[in-house]
Amino acid sequence: MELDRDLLLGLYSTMVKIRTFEMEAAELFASSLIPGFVHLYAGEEAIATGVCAHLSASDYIASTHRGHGHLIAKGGNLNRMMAELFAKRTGYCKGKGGSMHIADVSIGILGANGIVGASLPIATGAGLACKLKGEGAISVCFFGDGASNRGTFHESLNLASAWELPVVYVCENNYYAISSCQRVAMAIQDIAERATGYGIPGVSVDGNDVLAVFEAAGEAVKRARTGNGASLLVANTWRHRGHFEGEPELYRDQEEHKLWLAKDPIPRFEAQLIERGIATTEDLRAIDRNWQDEVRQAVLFAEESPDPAPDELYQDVYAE
Amino acid sequence: MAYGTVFGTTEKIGIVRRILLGLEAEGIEAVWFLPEREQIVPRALASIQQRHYLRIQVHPLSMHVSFEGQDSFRAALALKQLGVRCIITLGGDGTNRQVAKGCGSVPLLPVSTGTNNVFPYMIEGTIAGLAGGRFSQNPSLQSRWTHRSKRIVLARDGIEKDIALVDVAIISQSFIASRAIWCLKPLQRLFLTRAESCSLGLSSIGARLHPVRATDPFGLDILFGPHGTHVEAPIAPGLIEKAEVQSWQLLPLEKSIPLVLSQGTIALDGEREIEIPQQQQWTLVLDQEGPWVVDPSLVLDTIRSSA
Repeated sequence: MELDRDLLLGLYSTMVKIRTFEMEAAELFASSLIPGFVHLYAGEEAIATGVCAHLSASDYIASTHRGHGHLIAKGGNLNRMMAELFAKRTGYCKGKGGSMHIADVSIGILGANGIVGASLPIATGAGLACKLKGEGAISVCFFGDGASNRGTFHESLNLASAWELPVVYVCENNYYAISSCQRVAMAIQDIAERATGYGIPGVSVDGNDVLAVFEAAGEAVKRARTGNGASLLVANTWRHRGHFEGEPELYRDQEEHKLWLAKDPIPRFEAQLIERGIATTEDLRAIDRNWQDEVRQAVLFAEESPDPAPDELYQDVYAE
Repeated sequence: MAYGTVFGTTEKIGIVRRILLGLEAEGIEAVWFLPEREQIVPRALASIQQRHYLRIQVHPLSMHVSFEGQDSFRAALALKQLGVRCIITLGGDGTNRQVAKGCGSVPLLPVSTGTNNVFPYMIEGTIAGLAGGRFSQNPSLQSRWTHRSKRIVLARDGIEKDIALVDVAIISQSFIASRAIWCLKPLQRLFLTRAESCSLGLSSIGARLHPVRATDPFGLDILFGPHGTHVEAPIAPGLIEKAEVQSWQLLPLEKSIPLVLSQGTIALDGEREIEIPQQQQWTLVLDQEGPWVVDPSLVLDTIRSSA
């Protein structure tokens, strides 16, 4: 794997873009400017970034309740995302969906999803559509360790393997399904083992290493694009925040939490880029500043956008 | 992704179960194990303890566990301190490399848990248990049943940094990333302790040039580049790749090889482990001070003749 400077800086840029958006969302939520719930992706940026770097607008992704990172990595518009968080009319769902329902089918984002494990059959169906159309597009499914215990996981992988669908299943294992530790919820440690039962390749990678994810995802995407069927990619990671913003988070060991914070994917990658002379600290700070400005603009856009009108409540409930 | 088989938790529990029954049959009274997250040994034991009225005592090692590769090293140190007669490892080349750093002169009986390994044996658990048990019960015969493995020691500025049990590869790829080596194009130089025709991995390249057994007093040093010999080798399960070998030579024991490396990675036993961001001076030495390894065939042949 030889990576050019533009690609490497692009990976860094996407991770910072996600982190900046998420930390702003945390502030806004704490200030009661965002209604509803937000589940932040901070700490897991390397996964969406490393996977979506292989995708184009014609490929599909199906996301989760912790979906901001996936949507941004796939090319989601920051203004429309932020406006949706603010429940404004200019948002992706015209302010009526919120954080967990953002979708943009025009660029292959089939939606974040409030139901754990619901992304699996959606992405599998999209994979079937890709196969039937035969245009070389693929489908990527993001889900968590908790979702891998649900029936939708097993049914979807079974169908995808039986029909050799072009789907990459990306399990973001952050070790906690809300507050249930993986250790008490399953008898195996490596979730990739589950691929064996469906006759598809399964591989686990360090989900806090963007290049490890990029490389492994590249192989899985290549398999899907070349008609060789589905793969399961398990990226082991850690969420920096609680399950949702504002929870007391009493279930995680603070020592373990500190160890994982030290593996933060963004400083890790930054150190690699600087050490190899690929970028200077100034180059990277310029990227950081750019996304701070963009996210600030997105907040302004959201703040200045109109609320949805009460008589729009029943519009867009069904497709026309 | 290659097409290898990695044994899952259930299979590992099955292997351990069979090893324990083999050890019990040979009259082993006590074993100690690394307490890992999946609790493979307790789960294996729970399924057979009552049914087979096992006498064998099975103890977890009292040690700090971080659930990372270093645990194997720390477990080997602890087992050495306990004075065990044999360490049965379950894992691949990487696990055995960690154990080799800590086991000292305690012999290993390495059992492979995947199809992409060179150092451990692809051996059935019952057989491993019987061989390990018989070996441990007969201290006077142990020198006849073991060989000392070779290793490659890597040092930077005169300070030992790591070892390899099978191969050291110098690779032009800048990052460790997913660790695996899927293509040979970035391969610059390869040092091997052994190169056997029936092995997979980078050592299979050497086997096609000049086979080297685990017990031969030399290794191989292969330089890759254009205008050389084309070699086709199975570098991973189902992955047969072409390499262009510029030159090769036998690698003598105890000869220090200086390496000036820049912008690349060093792979140990088939996985990228060390990133080289700028020019650095390294040295590499093949020696015969690797772990002692039990030959289960020799041990079990003795059982047959004594019967």
